Amino acid sequence: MSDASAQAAVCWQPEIERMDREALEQLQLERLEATLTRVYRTLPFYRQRLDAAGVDPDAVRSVEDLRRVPFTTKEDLRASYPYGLFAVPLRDVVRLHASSGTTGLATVVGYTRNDLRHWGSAVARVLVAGGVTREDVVQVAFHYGLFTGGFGLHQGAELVGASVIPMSSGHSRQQLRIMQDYRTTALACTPSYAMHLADELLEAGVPRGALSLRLGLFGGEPWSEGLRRQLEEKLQISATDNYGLSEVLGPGVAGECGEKRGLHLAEDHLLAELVDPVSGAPARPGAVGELVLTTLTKEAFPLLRYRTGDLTTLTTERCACGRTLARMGRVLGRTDDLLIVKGVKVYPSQIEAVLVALEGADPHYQIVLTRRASMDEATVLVEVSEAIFFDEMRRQSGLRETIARRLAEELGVHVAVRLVERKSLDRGDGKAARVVDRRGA
Amino acid sequence: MLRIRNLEVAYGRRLALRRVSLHVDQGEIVSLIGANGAGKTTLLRTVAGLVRPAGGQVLFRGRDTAGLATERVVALGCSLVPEGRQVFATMPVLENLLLGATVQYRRGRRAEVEADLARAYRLFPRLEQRAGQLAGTLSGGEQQMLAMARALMARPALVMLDEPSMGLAPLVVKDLFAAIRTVRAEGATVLLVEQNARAALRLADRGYVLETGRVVLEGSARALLDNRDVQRAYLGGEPSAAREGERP
Amino acid sequence: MTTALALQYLVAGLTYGTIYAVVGIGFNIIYNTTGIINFAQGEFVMLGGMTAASLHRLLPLPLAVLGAVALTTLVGAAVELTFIRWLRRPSVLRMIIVTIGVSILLREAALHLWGEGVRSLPYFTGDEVTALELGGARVSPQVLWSLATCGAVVVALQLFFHRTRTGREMRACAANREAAALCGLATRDLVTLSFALSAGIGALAGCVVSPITYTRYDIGASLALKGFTVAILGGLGNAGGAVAAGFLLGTLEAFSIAVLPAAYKDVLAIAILLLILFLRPSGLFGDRELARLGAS
Repeated sequence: MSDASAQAAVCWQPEIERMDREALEQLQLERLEATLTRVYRTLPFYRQRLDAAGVDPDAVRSVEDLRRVPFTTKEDLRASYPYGLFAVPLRDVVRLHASSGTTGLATVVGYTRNDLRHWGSAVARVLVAGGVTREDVVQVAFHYGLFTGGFGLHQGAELVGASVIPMSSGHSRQQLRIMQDYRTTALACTPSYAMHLADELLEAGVPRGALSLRLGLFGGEPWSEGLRRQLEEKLQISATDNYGLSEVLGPGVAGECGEKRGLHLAEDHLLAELVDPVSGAPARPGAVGELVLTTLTKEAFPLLRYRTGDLTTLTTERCACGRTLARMGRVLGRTDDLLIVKGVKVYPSQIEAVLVALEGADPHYQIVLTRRASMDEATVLVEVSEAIFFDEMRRQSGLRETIARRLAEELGVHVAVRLVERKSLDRGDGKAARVVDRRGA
Repeated sequence: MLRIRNLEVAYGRRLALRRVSLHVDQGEIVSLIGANGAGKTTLLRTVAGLVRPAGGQVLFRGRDTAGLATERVVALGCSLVPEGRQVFATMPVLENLLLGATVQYRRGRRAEVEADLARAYRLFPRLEQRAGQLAGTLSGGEQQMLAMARALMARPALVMLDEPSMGLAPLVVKDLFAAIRTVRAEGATVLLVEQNARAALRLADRGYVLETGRVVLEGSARALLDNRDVQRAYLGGEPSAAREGERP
Repeated sequence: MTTALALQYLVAGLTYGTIYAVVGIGFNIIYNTTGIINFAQGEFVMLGGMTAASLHRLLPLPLAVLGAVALTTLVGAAVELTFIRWLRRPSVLRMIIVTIGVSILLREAALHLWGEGVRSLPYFTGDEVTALELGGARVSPQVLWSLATCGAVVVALQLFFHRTRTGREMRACAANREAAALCGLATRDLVTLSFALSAGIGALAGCVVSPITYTRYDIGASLALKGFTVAILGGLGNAGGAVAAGFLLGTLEAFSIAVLPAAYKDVLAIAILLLILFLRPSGLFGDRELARLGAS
């Protein structure tokens, strides 16, 4: 680990990452004020919001003043689908990405050329903090597509100068083959997929010596220290956590350094706050709270006080690596019912929406999450009427397949479906019964 | 070196600047661009002590200069080359330059004044040729050089220039900006206000865009040059598809 | 008119012309440095003469004159510090009103201090009957004293403004006050200095001519008027012009007695002033070019 620690001291942008906090706060203030001015002017959504809340953007002169600005939520983003929150004309947007859901619950995000540049350097920072250099061969096993994971890591790694293998997700056998033949040194993917690959390696009997792997840049879902240790042992790598969300940037929002004691935030691009998820007031120092992010440099898709829904901690204490950027702790949970299945965000309400629209299915369901061979497995138990339940196997399986197909389309991830008898699911009260998560750590 | 927080400046009832924040670090060239009336000149004049702010903070080398007399600000190391040159028209070029060195005389650094005079002539040879001429008889470009050289005689740590290219031919502007680069290379920090946004951003490391008394955009000069709104508003439109990948 | 009489008038004109010239110069110094027309300029002359006369009771003549000049200089500085310095962005009209107010204040103070009586210093050399014969005219040595003083003042000022750093700074302040501030000049102190300087030389003139013209608490107003005329006539900002214009006015005035009743002497000055302002505001000797540069 000393190798990684030594490398942790290397910064991609030392003038930013080691900036003294006073200068950083000045920079944040300038960018916050400019963003507020721009956003008030160009986005009717925010102008109305601020006017309604009685907040004059000129009167916001500090981070404390920012607290008077109302939050922006996922619902706001959904309601503006597709381009309602774009602050620039579409022709200035050179990239579009999306997050979770297909229709109705989806969010579209856009990037200008400058936004892409900033994004790239934020990811590069995270990679370098995790130990990546231009000598590395980086295998990006995040999904390339509308989601920001694949392209985000790709861009950052390319910027660092590493050799990038755009594997995307899936095709584990091929992943392993490539990893050996191409002499991959750094793997970027979700921790659960990494675990899956590790197990496949073992199963395939590939000797560890056949791999050149030394680094793991894992993110996209919460994972424990225990899992980190396992991964580091099984793959003989140094594994670091990184955090991102597409609404605000994509990967690159924060990443661990070699100290592995918190993820350094890209504070020159984002202003981070921690709030009490219930009251919305600033969280007490040292307490766990919901991460709220305000974009400081986004041109196409600026956001003010976006509630990420992720629970974490925040500290500005100096890190031994020398970086002065604040650190957030590993994500501890969600404020809402969002699930992450195989790295994909799933809201139970999406499942409900699909079932309601389908003939024959009751909107009473339960999603059971298990882990097999280190991969998430989701099974949706759907209550159906007696008639169907006791019906022909053919008709039942037809319905089951239809539901499975519709769910896969909507969620973007495959789930198994089982039809159960009406009223057999524990009613409980509200959400708790909807999800049974047996994945453990 | 210069840190401005939430600066508010009023002209009578009208707010020329509303909560402007910006900073200039040692050794940087920072450009301030924006349309007429955006407040750029007001900002420089406030930092120079010619205008008293209504609110906010101006920290120059750690000292709060809001409300300080201009002569104190100059003594602290901040010199302004004002809009319209403002040379002493009825006095010869040499006297203009020596007057610029007033703070140096007060500090007792006569020898440095000699050296600085030589350096001024090196930067702007034309001034040496016209040393005895009345400043008012110089051409616009020469007057601008004189105004700049005069400000440099004080050995300022921060040089602020207000629209130096105004009314000057492109070739003259080129020379002027080359001189600014030299000045920075010799250790000064520069805050440049310009209507000629393209030239200003090409010269600068970072920039701010001011509109109606507020900062609307901040970033590296390159990012500003690539920003579409800036291109449309200040750089004469968007580049054609053919020139897209080119550095402007 | 005989040559002798003409010469007599000329000499009288030169004498008065000296004061007018010096008051004009005083106007110019303050105007150049600050853009203010100081209507209290005449009072400085008056104060010089009156103070010297009082001091002479205690001190020998040279010291009395020196003391009077010093004290009036201080008064000049005090006036600036008290009334002018704290004014923010004064308009021309406001400044005129303020200086008129100051002149009234000083006049009233003089009235209280010295009453309505006439004072004078003794002749520097000789007395009221001593006279030199010059081409048929009888010229008092005091006239030569005043001419010499005027000459010395002009030369000294020339040296001061062009050979000293402070003088250069004052010229800079006059050329462009804001630019001067941007060069780090202590412009406010230079303004105070300009008032002090004007007061000092006004006082000196007042001392030198008081044996001939006598001093009274109220001579300030008409002196200011004539000094102002002289300053304009000679071209505002032009010291040499002020001197020439001063003598011209003095001479014209003196000769006017031959044509008009004595009481109309002052009217002449006003008439000339109006004439200039209509016809040639830059004055007889005002350098049009210089004025243009100064305005740019």
